[in-house]
Amino acid sequence: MNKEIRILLAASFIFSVLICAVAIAQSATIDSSSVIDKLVIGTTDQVEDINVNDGIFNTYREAFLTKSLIRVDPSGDFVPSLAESWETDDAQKWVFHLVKNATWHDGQPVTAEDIKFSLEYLPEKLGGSNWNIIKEVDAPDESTLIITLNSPDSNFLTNLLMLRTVPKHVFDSVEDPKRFNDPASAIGCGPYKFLDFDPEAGLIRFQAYDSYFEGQPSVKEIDIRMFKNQEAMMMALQKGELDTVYIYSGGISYYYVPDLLENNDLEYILIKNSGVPAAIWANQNRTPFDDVRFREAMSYAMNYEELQNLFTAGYGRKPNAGFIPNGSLNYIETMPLTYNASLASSILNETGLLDADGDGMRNLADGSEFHPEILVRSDSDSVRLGEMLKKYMNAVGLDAQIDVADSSGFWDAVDGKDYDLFVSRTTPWGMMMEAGYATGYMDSRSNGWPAINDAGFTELVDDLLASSSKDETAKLAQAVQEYYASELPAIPLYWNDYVQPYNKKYEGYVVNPIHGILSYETFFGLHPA
Amino acid sequence: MTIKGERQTHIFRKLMRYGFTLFLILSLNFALPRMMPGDPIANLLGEQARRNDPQTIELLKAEYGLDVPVHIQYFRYLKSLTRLELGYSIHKNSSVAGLIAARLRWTLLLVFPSVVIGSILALLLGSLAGFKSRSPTDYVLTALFLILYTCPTFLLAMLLLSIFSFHLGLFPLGNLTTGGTTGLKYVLDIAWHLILPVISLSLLGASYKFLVVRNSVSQIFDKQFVVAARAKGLTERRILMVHVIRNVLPPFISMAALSFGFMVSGALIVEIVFSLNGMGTLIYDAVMARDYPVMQGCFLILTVFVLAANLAADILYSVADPRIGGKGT
Repeated sequence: MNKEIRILLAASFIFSVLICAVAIAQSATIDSSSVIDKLVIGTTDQVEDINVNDGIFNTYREAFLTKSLIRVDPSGDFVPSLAESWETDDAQKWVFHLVKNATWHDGQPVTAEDIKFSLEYLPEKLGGSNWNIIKEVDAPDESTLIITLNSPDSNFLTNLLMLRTVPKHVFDSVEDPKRFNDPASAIGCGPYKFLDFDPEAGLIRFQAYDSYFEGQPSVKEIDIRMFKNQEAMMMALQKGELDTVYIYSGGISYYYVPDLLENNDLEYILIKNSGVPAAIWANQNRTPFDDVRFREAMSYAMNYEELQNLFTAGYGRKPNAGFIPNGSLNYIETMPLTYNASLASSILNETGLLDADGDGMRNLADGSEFHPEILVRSDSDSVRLGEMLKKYMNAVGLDAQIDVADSSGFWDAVDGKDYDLFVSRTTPWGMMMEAGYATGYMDSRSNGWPAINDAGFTELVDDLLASSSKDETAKLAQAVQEYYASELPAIPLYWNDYVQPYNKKYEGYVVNPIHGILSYETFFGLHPA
Repeated sequence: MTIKGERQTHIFRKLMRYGFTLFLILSLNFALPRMMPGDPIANLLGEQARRNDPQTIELLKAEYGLDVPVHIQYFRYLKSLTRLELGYSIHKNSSVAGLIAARLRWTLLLVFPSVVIGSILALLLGSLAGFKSRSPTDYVLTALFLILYTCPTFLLAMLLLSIFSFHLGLFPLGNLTTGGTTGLKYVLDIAWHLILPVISLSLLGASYKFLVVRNSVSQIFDKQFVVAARAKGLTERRILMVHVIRNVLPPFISMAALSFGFMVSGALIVEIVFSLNGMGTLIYDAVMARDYPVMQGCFLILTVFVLAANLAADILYSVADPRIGGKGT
């Protein structure tokens, strides 16, 4: 009997082992089948070198090569990265507790001293407005980092999203990182390590880092193929040479959508743009742009329906006066912007801008000629947009002129406040600057594009920076949007969605608010369809 | 003075003139970028320029020598040129000489065959069209080259890319190499990548030269010496090859030389369509970013090329037509 039981037990054990083995084998099969050997991404953004000062390469550095203390998840919440936890009591002194198993791509451990070095070395050598707010960085032990700010900043974690950690043992001896183009400059602690850069082939390759502290990504190699025009890039996507495309803070031209719809191998995701794709900014240092009634009249002069149709091909929305696009964190409904030329004209009449000399165009209140200039960039859709705005302004008696400048001349004029009106977009990252909610663009202590001279707004921004609770932040964010809606420092012309195409052979692309599809979730969750 | 001596004097004078022109252009290369609106440091920092503290901006200006008066910058610039130093790019994190070296070889690889093929094509077909003036051959060739002449560069290049690369799959969609190849495979790979760009530039370059050659040939056929040659019983082919083409050569050499100089910078559109890293895009990026050292370096190279091409044309002129370079010229 005992023998039979023993045989039965042994048989059961063998059976269980076999079942387990089959299960493990099956799971291993699933794992290996979900691995992607190579993901080829096309882009029109051009990397010049693998330098820590190369703006485009830094996008890939942030997405693939390095890790900051924190990252954002798809919903925009801050989640741990190199720091497994953090705390602050006053939004001025921040304490981060680092993970203990992170290593650089050369095998050296990542320590708090490395992060302290990164926060001090890069701003010192390269400048960087995000870090002016830091007073002191301390690394009391290998896994604790204390950052003290000049003043409370509840939005400080947003700045940290742009932290490019560099290994102290590599960069300590580099006097000028702008001239350091050695492959060692690309050593990071992220899920991918730099493989090579071939400028003639327009190819940069990254390979999964075996010892990455958060595990192995499902995509083993990422190749970035650079094109100098979108047409050739889209041809490559349609031919299957690319798996997807990437354009920082943007999508492909809507012109290509019909081709995508016709191609059975391709699909696309619509990404809600948390930036404003086009807005008109008024210089409040000049008359009559400092008059809110003038700006209100301008807002009624614009035909938002037409702009939306012409510039977003149906992938856009009419904007609200609150500027912040719907879908953004703490978004509130403000007054929808509407086209009403007769109302615009009557408001302009009230401001004293009348046609004094009978030439069909309005003069200033003192009777002098008034030719408001719209500054636009030559290398964007702005010129076409400027023509439309000129048409709308002419229709209400404003003799608008277009001033086309290339990128350099444009920023020179904007920086020097040498404009009446200008057209520019805002980026998702830019919307998060300073206290968030576009305050980085609006506040005169920061970019200050509309040159707001209002102590009330400054106080609002300070309150937002000092806010210590989500509820308080939401309330203040609401107040900021109401301010934009009532004062119209900038008039959004439309909101839009980006079109992000991809080849259907892989699925699981997840969009990150900062780097789009180049997200942690994509690298770890992308799998064959 | 002997003819040889006269020619030497002629070449010496030319060299003096070219030397002065070079100095003048070098000075313009320095002045023009600085006369443009826009600031390289503001451009470097982009839309966040204002958010940087003024000290950072001053340090960056000092790093690139932009913190001193313009006349001191000018003397420093001339001094550095005497040492053949082109400086360091403000935007591209690399030395100007390194950037130019990396781009120029590809541009030359693109432009040189394009100029040669385009010129030969224009000379042969232009002569044929002029020789058979008002014949169906002339009509077809003239119409074809007129279409090419009026065709925008980007359109022709994009058509070639679309037909031969995208639809027929015969050529790659861009770049100079596939990557990862060496030896003969690498050379063949580059050739494969450059075929369409070279065809684009050759056809565009040939189009206007064709018209000049065709008109010159058809006009020369009415000249007295051609009538005399015919009267001597020479064949039409011999008249064309020996007497007519020789007379077409001086203006043709001039055109070819000029096109070589300008194509070094003017291949911009072709570089963009075929995603090539050449001098065109380097200059364009430098101008957009107000990258003074790169602009100065590139303009210097262009100046040298244009002047060298013109000098070569001048010398070839006197070879093609011995009357040039003699007394009184």
